Amino acid sequence: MILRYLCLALCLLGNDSLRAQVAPPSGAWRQTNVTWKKPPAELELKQRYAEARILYFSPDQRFVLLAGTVIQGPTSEVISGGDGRVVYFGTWKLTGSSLHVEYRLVSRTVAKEGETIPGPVQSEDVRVRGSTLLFQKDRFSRDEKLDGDDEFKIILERESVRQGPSSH
Amino acid sequence: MFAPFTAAAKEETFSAFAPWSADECISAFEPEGKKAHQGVAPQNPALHQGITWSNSTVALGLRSLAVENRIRSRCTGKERDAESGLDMFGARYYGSSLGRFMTPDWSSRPSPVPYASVADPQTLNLYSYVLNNPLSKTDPNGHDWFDVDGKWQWQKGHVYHDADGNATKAKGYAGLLVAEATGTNKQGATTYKLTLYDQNKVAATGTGFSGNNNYADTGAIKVGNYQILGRFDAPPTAPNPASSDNNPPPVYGYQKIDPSINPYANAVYQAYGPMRARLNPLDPSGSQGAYFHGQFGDAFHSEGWTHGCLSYGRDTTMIDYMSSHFGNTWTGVSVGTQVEKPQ
Repeated sequence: MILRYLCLALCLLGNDSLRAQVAPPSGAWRQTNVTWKKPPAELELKQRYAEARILYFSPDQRFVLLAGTVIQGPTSEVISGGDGRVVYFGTWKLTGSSLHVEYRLVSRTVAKEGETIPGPVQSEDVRVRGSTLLFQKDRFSRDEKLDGDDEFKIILERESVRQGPSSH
Repeated sequence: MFAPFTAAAKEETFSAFAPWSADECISAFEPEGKKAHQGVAPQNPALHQGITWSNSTVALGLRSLAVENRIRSRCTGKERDAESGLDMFGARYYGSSLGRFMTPDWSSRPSPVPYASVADPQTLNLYSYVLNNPLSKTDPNGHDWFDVDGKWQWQKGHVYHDADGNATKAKGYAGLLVAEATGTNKQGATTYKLTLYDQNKVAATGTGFSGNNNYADTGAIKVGNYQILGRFDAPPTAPNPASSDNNPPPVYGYQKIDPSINPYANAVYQAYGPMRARLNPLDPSGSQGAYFHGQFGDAFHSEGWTHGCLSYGRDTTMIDYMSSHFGNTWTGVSVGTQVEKPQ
């Protein structure tokens, strides 16, 4: 009996320790379940590209979800400037081990009929599984090469101007 | 030397003038009474680069301090420093009286002899202008692009090295689009003077812009050399199947966009205009998925700024010419040569 209580206590303690280990997310996280393609061979470009979604968590708890084309070179990785992209903007909050995001659509290169921008506020829980994030049905891993991408700098500045500091 | 000319002052000063054609340059140096350009080469071809606009501007009553200090060569169209008499080609200064560049050619990547080929000893002279043949060749940016056998190519072997040191051979080019930075528009995007060369002739001129609204340090197309693949990709009719977010499939050549096909094609037209062409980088470190496209719709994309692309705005003259003349061959694109710095 004592042993059972001891095990239970250890388990609870263990869970609490795990919860405490969930660090606040930061920077860019790229979708990993994507299909990579190569440019036409005659261009002799050492790169590949994929349609991917990227989550961005700023230190001041602002959140960006961007869907676009990611181009990977031998040493570089960028979000394509000219291919279409969809941008959602909002905030993130970490409570214990629960990561919660609230966001709404703020821009779409190729408009969807009947859609209004900004869109309605949506909220979602992001599940943390070790070094992976699960968002909706997609899996994301940390991608430091995208941290400094101009896109996030622009979105954060633009949305600050549009929505004011009270929104984040 | 002098401080950079503001875009507005430049436009005001030079908008009334156009560079001379090759024939006009030749005729200007032929003796009085002799018929213009009878196929006889002038005695000193180098001097052909030395005509300025000063007389024209005086005659038109436009003489001012700015004009005196900011004249251009009428043959090369490049801005001339009145004090030194040198023409600014973007990458370096050219001395028209000598027919030589004042500094050796350079490349942004380390190279023992930039833009040179051992197979052609003439190319080893890093000070020469268009291989000493200014009557048949032109050099838009100081890095010696010119036509070879009817194709635009880089001079001297036209081999590029990427960040890993791998050599990449540039293609032969039918056309060359040169985009020179001129200033900033009210949206904070960098503005460009666009010149499209067809062989050694100017086929079209225009203006463009690149960069982001009010954040001039971000999102502008990277300075460097690009190429457009000579092929037409299918027009957009549906979102990319790989995208769950309505994005169109990437394009690597030209793409005509017909808004009448269906509502999705019309939405793409609103974002990119009637045509777009991918600017494929020669230097992989410059890869950012840039396009040359227009801004026609009322969506956020029509506000005079871009995400790292070069936009021709609403004037389709240049892209129409490119697609009709170079649609099946390669087109070279040189961006922002005025701001490129040697390393």
